Amino acid sequence: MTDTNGTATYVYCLLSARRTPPPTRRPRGLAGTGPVRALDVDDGLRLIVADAPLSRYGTEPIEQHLRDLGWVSSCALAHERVVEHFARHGTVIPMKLFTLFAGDDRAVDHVRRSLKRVRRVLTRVSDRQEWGVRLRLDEQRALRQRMATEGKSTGAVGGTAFLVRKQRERQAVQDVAKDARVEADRLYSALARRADDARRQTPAQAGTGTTVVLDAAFLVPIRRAAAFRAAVKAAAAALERRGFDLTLTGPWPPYNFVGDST
Amino acid sequence: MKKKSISKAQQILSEADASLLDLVDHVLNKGVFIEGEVLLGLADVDLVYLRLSALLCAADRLTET
Repeated sequence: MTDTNGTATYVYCLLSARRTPPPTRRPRGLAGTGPVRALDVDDGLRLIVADAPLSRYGTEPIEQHLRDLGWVSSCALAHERVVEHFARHGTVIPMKLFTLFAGDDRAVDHVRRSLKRVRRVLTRVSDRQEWGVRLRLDEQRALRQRMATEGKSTGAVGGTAFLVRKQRERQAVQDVAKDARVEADRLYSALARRADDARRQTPAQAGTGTTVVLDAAFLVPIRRAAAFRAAVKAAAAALERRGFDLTLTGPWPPYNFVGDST
Repeated sequence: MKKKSISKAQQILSEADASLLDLVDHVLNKGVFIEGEVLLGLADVDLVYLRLSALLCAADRLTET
């Protein structure tokens, strides 16, 4: 692996399709890698790979570059383009960025050893797409709205009025946070009912002011995609009025639904 | 020119392309189907993830304004 003159086999995805997709119009793949190829693994099952020079894609060069988000982003984009291209030809199991093997044989052997698992995952994700949903709360906006709807002052003046207002603000902050948790749970359950599978990530704690209260992925049958999107859109409109911001991304290859725990 | 000192990450950020960051998040941090042989140090991937989370949040704020 320290041989920087050699090449490794970069794996984009596993493809389950009746026929080999035509070699024309395939995306280029990651910079500096060879043409995208298909390796036979089993009946109707192929690994989509390319040669990757270790001088650029060995452990050390990659680790050095990982701090450079621009570089990581361009790799991510190239990787995703290849995966999405082949997703149009069958069912794909996407690999994580920078999945590399010492050679073609090693990659194929690795997959052949876990064929049972491969078939199980393929069955679960076929004819389905992944959608990402993120719910954010603009705390200041939510607070302002809450304070506004609760009416103005009690008529008290001076120090008493100040204390009353402070207490009310503290209460409002707590209410907003509780409200956000309830809404996140409710939205997640509602959308999960429209999906075959769902994953909820621990929401990243955002910086000041805006908080991610739900970060989730849903595995949705293609034929139900329109209904799913409509449900998200309806929820977004209702939540918007209360200081929430809902974003939908996708359709993605099922990155969240091919892992070990699934 | 100030522009020269802007890093790639900041460029991405200034374009406020949250979808690109989402993409990186997906391909780098989500489910692993097979573990490759040329392994990335776990710590390094975690580091990217942390930076990414920060950027995603920052991009969120940017798109609001």
